[in-house]
Amino acid sequence: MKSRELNGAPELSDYFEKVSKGFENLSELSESDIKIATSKKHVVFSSDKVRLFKYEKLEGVKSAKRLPVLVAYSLIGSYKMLDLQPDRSVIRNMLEAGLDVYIIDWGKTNRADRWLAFEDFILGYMGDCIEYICSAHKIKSLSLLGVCEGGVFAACFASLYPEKVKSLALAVTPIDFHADEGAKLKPDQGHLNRLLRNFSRQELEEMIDAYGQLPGEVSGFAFLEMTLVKSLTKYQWDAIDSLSGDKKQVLNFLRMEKWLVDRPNHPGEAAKQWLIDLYNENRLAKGEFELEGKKINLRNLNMPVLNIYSRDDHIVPPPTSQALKHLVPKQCNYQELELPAGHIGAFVSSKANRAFSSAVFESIPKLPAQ
Amino acid sequence: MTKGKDDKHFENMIENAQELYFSGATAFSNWMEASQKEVRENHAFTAALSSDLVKNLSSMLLQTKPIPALDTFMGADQNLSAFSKASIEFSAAAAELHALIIAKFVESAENYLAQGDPESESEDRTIRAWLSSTNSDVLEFQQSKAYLDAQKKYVTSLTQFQKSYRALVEDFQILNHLPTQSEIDDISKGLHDLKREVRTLKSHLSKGMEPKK
Repeated sequence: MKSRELNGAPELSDYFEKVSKGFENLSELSESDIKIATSKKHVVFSSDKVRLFKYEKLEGVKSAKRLPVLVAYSLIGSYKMLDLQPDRSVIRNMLEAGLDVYIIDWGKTNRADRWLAFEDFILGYMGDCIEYICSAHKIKSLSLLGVCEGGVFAACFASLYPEKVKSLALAVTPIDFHADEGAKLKPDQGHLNRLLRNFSRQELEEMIDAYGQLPGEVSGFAFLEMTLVKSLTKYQWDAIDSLSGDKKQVLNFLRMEKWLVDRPNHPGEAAKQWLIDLYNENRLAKGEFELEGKKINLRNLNMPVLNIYSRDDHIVPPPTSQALKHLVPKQCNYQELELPAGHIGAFVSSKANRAFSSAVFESIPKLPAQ
Repeated sequence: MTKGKDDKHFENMIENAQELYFSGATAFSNWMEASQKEVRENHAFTAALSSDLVKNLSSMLLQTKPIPALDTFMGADQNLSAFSKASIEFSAAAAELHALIIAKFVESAENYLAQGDPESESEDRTIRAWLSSTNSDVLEFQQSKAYLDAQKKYVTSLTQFQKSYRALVEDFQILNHLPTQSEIDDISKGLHDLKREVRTLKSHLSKGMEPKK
């Protein structure tokens, strides 16, 4: 114990020095320093609370002369993750490559939107956005990039209307929600899948009906609970390290926190489909998932498909994404990219997001000759 | 006139008159006091009587209005009872889940200490090593049936708590002629269905118009 006593004092001194530095950093920063999603964009189409943004081209960047790409993020989080900060931005990478980039903002839904279902988001809003872009560019099909739940939206749309999707890219998207069973996973992977399988349909329906939606704070809490110890120490023991580094490091931390607290509510009916039909009953992989009475058949995905998943993803275990490989038709040009990152790291880790953006760019077909 | 006899008589007469006056005044005063007391008592009685009458009248009038009847009250009472029960069950489920997690943390710390001397040259490294060990133990525990069932109980009891609270709030809204959440949900459902119909109609119309272009 002697060595601990001897070393305790300097460590305590270091600790208080870090606390002091943390306070100094926070006192020098203001809300305006912690901006996220700064790439310039403007609304080109809107319907109800949904807005379609077009990103403005970067000065001096030549057009890649490829099909425009529409990005669909999940309803669980904000699309701003894809453009967190200029040096960690999938969107900016795509703009630097000369692509025409559009993104759907699903809007801030509340209890009044409780009846919105997958049908509304996929066949309605997403379909309208695709129609707008095709019309604006005078093309018949475009490139679709879906992220997480947005990836399920994209896969469903592409399987129903393959003629409108020239290429499909999915990122950290679960397809077979039960593929974690029996798979070799890391200890922190598959918790959400196991948890939701432990409920009955009625219990999950009642839970969502009690709120009329899946409130953002409830899904936020569920994510924190997945990695209990890390969540507890993040704002305690580790917070000092996060806040006492150089200004750039502190801003990285605060920008991520800003995104995390901006967690939207998930409309009730769509939440039932997400948690019950897909997570609990695995209907998409079984070929039983329906939109307005039409079954989603992933064998219809006859366009090139790029499936990106993260090796360390604790929210979407890799086998649940990789399962797509066995569900697309044999003639499908199917490619996979495994990123050495987590669910969010795929977009914000500087190495992973470069690999991600590069793979997406390569998957986008050239514009047809006029 | 014999001064002495007459004077005596006069003095007696004055004294008698004075006594008579004082006794009369006292009697009058007593009477007045008694009368005032009676008046006061009568007034209080009258006021109490009036108050009772008003109360009775109010009750009679109120009973003719559509106010909460006995069965409505009993409904609210039952909802309050259900809310209390749900609240207790939710607290119990939360305590059960917390107890499981805390027990796992303690067990993990004991295991960590039992593995050997955790002495390190750095306090920070020691704490991080302990947290890393606890993290592994807790993640493993979170996969167990005991944890998943406790969490399910927590979520389902929270659902019942939310439902019973909403039933209470809706009672209040109904009794006070306010729109309830269920009524607002009905309206938003109608609006949503209408929007879908319009979208379908527009889609059919645009398809029908395409050949004309």
